Amino acid sequence: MISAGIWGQSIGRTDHKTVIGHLLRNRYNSVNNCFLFRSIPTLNLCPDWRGMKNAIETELSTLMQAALNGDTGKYHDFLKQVVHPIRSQIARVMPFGISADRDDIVQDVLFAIHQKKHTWRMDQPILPWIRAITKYRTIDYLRRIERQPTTALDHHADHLVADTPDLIETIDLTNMVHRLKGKTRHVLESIGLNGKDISSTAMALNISENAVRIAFHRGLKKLTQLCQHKKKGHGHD
Amino acid sequence: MTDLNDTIALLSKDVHMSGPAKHFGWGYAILTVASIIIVASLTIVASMGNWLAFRPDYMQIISDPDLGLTIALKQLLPLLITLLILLDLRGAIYPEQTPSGWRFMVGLLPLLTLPVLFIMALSHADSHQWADMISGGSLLRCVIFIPSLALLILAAQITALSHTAPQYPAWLGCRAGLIAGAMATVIYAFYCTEDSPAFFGLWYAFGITVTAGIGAVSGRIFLRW
Repeated sequence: MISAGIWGQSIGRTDHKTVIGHLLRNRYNSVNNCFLFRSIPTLNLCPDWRGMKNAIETELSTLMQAALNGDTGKYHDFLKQVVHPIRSQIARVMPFGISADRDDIVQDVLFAIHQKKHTWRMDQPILPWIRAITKYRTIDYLRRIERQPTTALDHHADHLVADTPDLIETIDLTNMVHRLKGKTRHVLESIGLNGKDISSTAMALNISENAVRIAFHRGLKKLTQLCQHKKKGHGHD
Repeated sequence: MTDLNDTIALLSKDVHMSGPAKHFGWGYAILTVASIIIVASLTIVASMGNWLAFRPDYMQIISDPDLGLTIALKQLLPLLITLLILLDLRGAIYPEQTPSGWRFMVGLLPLLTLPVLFIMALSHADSHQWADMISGGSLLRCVIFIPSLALLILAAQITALSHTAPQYPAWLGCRAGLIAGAMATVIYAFYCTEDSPAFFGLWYAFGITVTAGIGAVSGRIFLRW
């Protein structure tokens, strides 16, 4: 029997499963009244929270528009800035979670945002789009835990005993890139790890820029899958 | 946090990869229409090889004042399903949009009309005729052909829809299945000589529903992101 302290309490395997089951069931009650989207009490205390929200909305929209027009720097800024709203939304949904899990989900959400960035319509607000993607990926994560409640709790229990940074499992991108094969690996190494741009990578590998882009895109997809496999594999390690 | 920074640095180099959302609609339309044309062409080829027979009296019977409407319903109802579900599709492909339940239900109304026609036809006939009316002369062909023809259209749609980010992939797949099944039914109806609502009301609805089910399963598998 595994038990772990969550909110300072000791809970068993069944309790853990119940919490996740409750969270998943409530997702479908109503999108607007869903626990994922209920307003934050602290935010309501702030007299100018709507203004703040609008400012974030405008800033992120501007950055994403520039990114979709090909500005790499702005896209980098966008991804950096979007981490905070994603993290706070995840924190509201996963009170039982720990920081390592949340960081995993944040990375997962960033990959999802990247893969589906073309689904944001420039004439629409960006925050609901980000919230929806975060919600989808978080629920996906919760489902994975629910399917493997024992292994997930094993993972939690280790961290809850001593939640120190050196024990937090992290996704080692370098190792993951090295697990890829062929052209995809070379392209990801060149661009992702060595910091080269697309044209110099294409010249170095003697392939077209389009081929580099396609290989890079495929590599990112495979990385996402590897991340998911790694998370699933935690319990089996 | 280092890993997060690495991820951000990695992702930010891939900014040019995706096309804008407005291109998606065209991709979907082209793939779907192309698959419908291919399926229609395949049935024409099949009719040349005597595997399927285009009904020779189609134009004559469709203009018949007594039978015309009933025969037209065989294709009008599936067409209506396609049209209504297409109108509903836009709300299901973007992550921030919640698909409208009532719009989907409206899209299902023409499908539900088919069993209603089936029941009405049976209620007007003697019970000893029911078995013959239901089985008709081409039950197996109808049950096999509609989902089979629909598979190609469904595959094309799933391919196009894989670029979307639906909140509910299975429901989006179900919608794609309904469209595929309905369009396959429209094509199949050119070859189907069963004009009794007791036959097509049941088996056309069955074929479309089976395809919708296949679509839902495909959506759950292939439209997850």
